Amino acid sequence: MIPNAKVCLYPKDTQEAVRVLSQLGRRALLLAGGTSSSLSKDPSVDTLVDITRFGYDSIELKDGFWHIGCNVRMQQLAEHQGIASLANSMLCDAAASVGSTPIRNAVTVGGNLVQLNRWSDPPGAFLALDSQVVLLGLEGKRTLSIDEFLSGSRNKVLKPGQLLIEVKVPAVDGRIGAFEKFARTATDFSIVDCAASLDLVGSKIRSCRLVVTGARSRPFRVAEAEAHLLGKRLSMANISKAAQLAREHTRAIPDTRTSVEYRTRMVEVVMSSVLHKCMTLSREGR
Amino acid sequence: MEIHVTINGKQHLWQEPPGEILLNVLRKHGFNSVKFGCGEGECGACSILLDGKSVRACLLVAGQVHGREIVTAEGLGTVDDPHPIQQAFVDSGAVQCGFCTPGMVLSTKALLDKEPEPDRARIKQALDGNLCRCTGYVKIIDAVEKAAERMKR
Ligand SMILES: Cc1cc2nc3c(=O)[nH]c(=O)nc-3n(C[C@H](O)[C@H](O)[C@H](O)COP(=O)(O)OP(=O)(O)OC[C@H]3O[C@@H](n4cnc5c(N)ncnc54)[C@H](O)[C@@H]3O)c2cc1C
Ligand code: FES
Ligand code: FES
Repeated sequence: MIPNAKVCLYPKDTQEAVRVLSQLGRRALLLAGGTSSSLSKDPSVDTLVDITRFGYDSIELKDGFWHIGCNVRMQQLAEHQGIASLANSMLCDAAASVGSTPIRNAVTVGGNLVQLNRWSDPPGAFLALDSQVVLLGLEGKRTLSIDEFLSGSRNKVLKPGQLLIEVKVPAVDGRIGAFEKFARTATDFSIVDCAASLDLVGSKIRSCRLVVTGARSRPFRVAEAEAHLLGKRLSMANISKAAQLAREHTRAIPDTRTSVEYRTRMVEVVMSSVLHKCMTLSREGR
Repeated sequence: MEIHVTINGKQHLWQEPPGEILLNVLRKHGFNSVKFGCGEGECGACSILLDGKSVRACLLVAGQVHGREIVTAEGLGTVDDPHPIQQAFVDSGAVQCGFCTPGMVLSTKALLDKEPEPDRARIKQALDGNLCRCTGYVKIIDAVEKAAERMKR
């Protein structure tokens, strides 16, 4: 409950939303799906801004990118045919792993990326797919790589009053990909997720992005494991080594679910599993 | 703030603070099938259909439903004239204390509206957001199957 909110505004376009948010500053609370924002108890907020009425709720293929609007819900992303054709549907798998059906019916792509909890699943898949994030503020649009969006300090990357309006995922054919979430139950928060996307030339790896989520406060790429795979084949030995490097280069954090030791160990297990899946897919010729 | 919302096909005009949790507002206005379980999105006791999709009323504030359409279990049927889904829950022994039942019934409605012939695996998936602490899930899944069968006819 937001105790002192007097009105709720429904901007009809992104410009109006940015204007209102910039004008009101800390007096305004932006609501998307509401799954986190509705629980705010901030007493300085007197105006709610529901951004789900200004569109940006569809997924379109344009100029070589899949444009995913900030108001697209997780269930919609999980079920999208076009997105399923991308890197063996790894982004659909990541979206489908978010909470339960009613949670996915509410959570938006934008809200999920901005909220960015330790265990948020989709951001790691976006990172593995080399996506871009489009921000909009009073000064105009700014497109940045997902690497930059996820690594920068929150308030610097997304300034107060700015909106994340869409995510762009390169519509590259032929990438092999896999995503896996490891959690206590089907609907619980992740302990560790891994995501991999690989570009093969013949049987050799030309480029790859290997991502660990949940082990630290943000998803990150494991550069050492990626470097190990470059120019090589996806063999059992190479997979074991890459997964081991992923473990060695993860300084995990503990929480109420698991210890540092367990979480660190699971990074190797889940990364190995994801890469084995990629190996099987590559042998099936897809 | 004035909030216009359609509930179970009828238009309502609320004078409510837009930041109040929707679950509390619905109960205050007599929609008592919507239950308070956990208040943080885990249990499904507060399920409603919002524009046809099952969501949590405990994770929405009143302002977010202005101009939108809600269905609660009250909107499906009555004691004298139950909806086939409600009747199937009764006939299958899928109700013990009944606290989870309105949510289960609504998740079933959302599923069957989209997919009239789901298999058991799909039913489990569609009910993944609804916890039951007494009946267990076998009879509930039976009830969904039974409802699907009856609604086909
Ligand atoms: C029970 C439960 C289980 C969950 N399980 C998972 C899970 O397994 N995996 C997972 O990844 N997530 C999970 N979530 C969701 C996650 O915790 C966040 O609640 C969710 O991602 C927020 O998205 P939202 O659309 O509801 O945003 P809101 O709650 O409306 O907003 C979140 C924040 O982002 C800001 N914001 C929203 N949209 C934008 C935008 N376009 N531009 C700028 N700022 C914006 C808001 O102002 C607010 O600060 C779960 C949530 C619940 C309640
Ligand atoms: S009360 Fe809303 S999910 Fe439990
Ligand atoms: S019947 Fe009691 S919680 Fe389901």
